[in-house]
Amino acid sequence: QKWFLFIIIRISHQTKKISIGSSFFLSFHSLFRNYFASLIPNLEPSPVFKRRKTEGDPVSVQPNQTMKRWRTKREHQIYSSKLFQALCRSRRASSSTSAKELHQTADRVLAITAKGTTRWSRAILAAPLTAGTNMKKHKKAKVTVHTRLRKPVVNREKKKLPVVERKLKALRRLVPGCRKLSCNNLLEETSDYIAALEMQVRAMTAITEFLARGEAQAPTDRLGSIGNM
Amino acid sequence: MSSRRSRSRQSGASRITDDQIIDLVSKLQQLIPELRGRRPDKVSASKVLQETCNYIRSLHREVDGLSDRLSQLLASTDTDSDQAAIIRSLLM
Repeated sequence: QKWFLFIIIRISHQTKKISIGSSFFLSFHSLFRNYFASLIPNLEPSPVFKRRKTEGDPVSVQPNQTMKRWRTKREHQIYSSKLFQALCRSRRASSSTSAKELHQTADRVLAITAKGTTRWSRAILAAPLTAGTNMKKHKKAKVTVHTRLRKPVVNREKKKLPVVERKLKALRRLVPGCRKLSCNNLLEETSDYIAALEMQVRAMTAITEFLARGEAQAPTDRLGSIGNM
Repeated sequence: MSSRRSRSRQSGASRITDDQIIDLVSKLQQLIPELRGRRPDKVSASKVLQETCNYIRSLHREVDGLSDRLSQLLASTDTDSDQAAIIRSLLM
């Protein structure tokens, strides 16, 4: 694992920012240690669409493939790097980044990483800046109509059906772009969405820890420890 | 069992069959960490759906909290531009 550390140090010499770089590299090393071996040769500064050929993801995502798809380290790398680039760009564009903008950015990068194979990703990308409250008002009106239709039905046996229906509707509301989806497709979308969200949490946690560590550590300590290594 | 028959009569209007619901529920159960260890017939459909919704909402909240922290971290560091250049040169 030392070989890539030498590469990192060589790059730092090029950028001539050794003191900041070293504090950064060591924390980076501890976080992305296993990822770097495949990270450097594979990633290119190319747009999303080129990676479609290398990934080879099928168009229809089945639940088993979903589990593997969002749990691979490669996807994690791709998402983390894209997210970081997007964050830097948005920081440069506007001096202050609110949490909501950041959340939206993270969601959009997640949707981009999905490469358009799922409905929820397309829905996120299609409607980037709509406010959540407007959508909720429309949906409340529709839900009341359905419950009125169910009232004249026999109560005891039919109580189960509205409950399950209601929860299905709640689930549909939570997964973006799935408000009119059938049961089977909803299952696929939900499973993919949950796996993607879990990956988003993992990646953002990693980036947060990494930035926090970069803040806390003093540069001079790290120089010494790198010399020892 | 009579409830299932009457439910299937109603399902023409709701367009969701029992089998679909059972299928959906059993597969969702595998995804949710809380319900994975339990036997499928011991957990009701509504509970699985409820837990799914709760899980997605908790994931949303977690991402919210993380993005809060990240935005604070990014706002507090002004030397990020150097680190950003280095990270980008590494990642690209």
